[in-house]
Amino acid sequence: MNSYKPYVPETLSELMDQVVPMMGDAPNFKDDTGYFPRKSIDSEFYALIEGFGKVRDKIGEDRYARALDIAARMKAIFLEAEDENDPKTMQGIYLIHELMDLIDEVRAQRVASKLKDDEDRVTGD
Amino acid sequence: MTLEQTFPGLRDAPGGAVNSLLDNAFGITAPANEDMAKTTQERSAYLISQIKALDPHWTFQSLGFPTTWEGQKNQLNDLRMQRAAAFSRIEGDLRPMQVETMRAMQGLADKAYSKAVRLYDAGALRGHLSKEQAIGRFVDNEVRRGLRSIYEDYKIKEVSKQVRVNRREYDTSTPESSYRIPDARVGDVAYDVTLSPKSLKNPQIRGFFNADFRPQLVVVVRPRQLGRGSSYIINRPEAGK
Repeated sequence: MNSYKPYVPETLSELMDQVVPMMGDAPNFKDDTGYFPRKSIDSEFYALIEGFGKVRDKIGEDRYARALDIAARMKAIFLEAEDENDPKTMQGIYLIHELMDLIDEVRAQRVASKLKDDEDRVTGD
Repeated sequence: MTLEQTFPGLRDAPGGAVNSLLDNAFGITAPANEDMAKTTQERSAYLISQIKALDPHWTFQSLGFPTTWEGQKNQLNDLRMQRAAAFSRIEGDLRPMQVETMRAMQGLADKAYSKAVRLYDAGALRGHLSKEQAIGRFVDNEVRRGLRSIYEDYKIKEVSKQVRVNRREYDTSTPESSYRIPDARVGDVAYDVTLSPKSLKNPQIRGFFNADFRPQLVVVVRPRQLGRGSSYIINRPEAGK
């Protein structure tokens, strides 16, 4: 398809599905499936940042600002990295871990507070 | 193309039967040579004609026939997915999408498994999980993300609410309205991505069959690196069994 538009995660669990695989795509974020020939570092970070925007009310302003800051630093590091063996790639992956921790933290809090998801269940979403 | 056309004999298989998915069903292991390129070109032309018959306004945007086997395979997968999307959009027929979802999940799972092993060996998959759990979690995340992107990009979600990724499927026949979460659902087929083999003995698989959408098949997708015949289809068991 020529008009590739990344899917923007809508929930915290969908956001985790976006964040974790970014470790395997770093640092170039090129498509290796054939389905997304226009996939790029820009499209993947667009989905990431817009995804955090979708859950902004759930994670709060402080965490939202921290997520955007981490994402900006991640992208800058990956743009400097040559390939997956470049030590900078692992530096960026450590920042992905920080995003995973942030999402896990919010989900755990939502479960502890018995906050319900859009299907009226306590799942962390 | 339906699941029955893809796997002859599926319809007549007894309930609960496990039908192995042959490797060539996914078109991955075929050799790259001139005959294959010719076959692929003919196949592409056939798919293009099928899509145009469904949607006369559709045009195939291409920079030319790919020169590598990887490129040719990718073009075929793209055309198959576009045909499935056209069937869903124009005919309301989800059967081709059921096949293409299976094909896409297998490709995504294979790629994800390779990446996960590389990341694990590099110490990038941290946490308190075992190697298999860490790799399995990565594969799950990657396949779900890929499927959502495919359905978004090929505009599947706009035409059918029966195409879902990682959503709860309820069994309202139980007092507590229990639910299971298949990795994907397309119409009356459920899909599960897993590293461990699963069968009807597994409560999760039985739970899928008990869900309100009454799936006729559960497709178990496992990375092909785990061995030949790693992925398979389980038929709906007969009532009372």
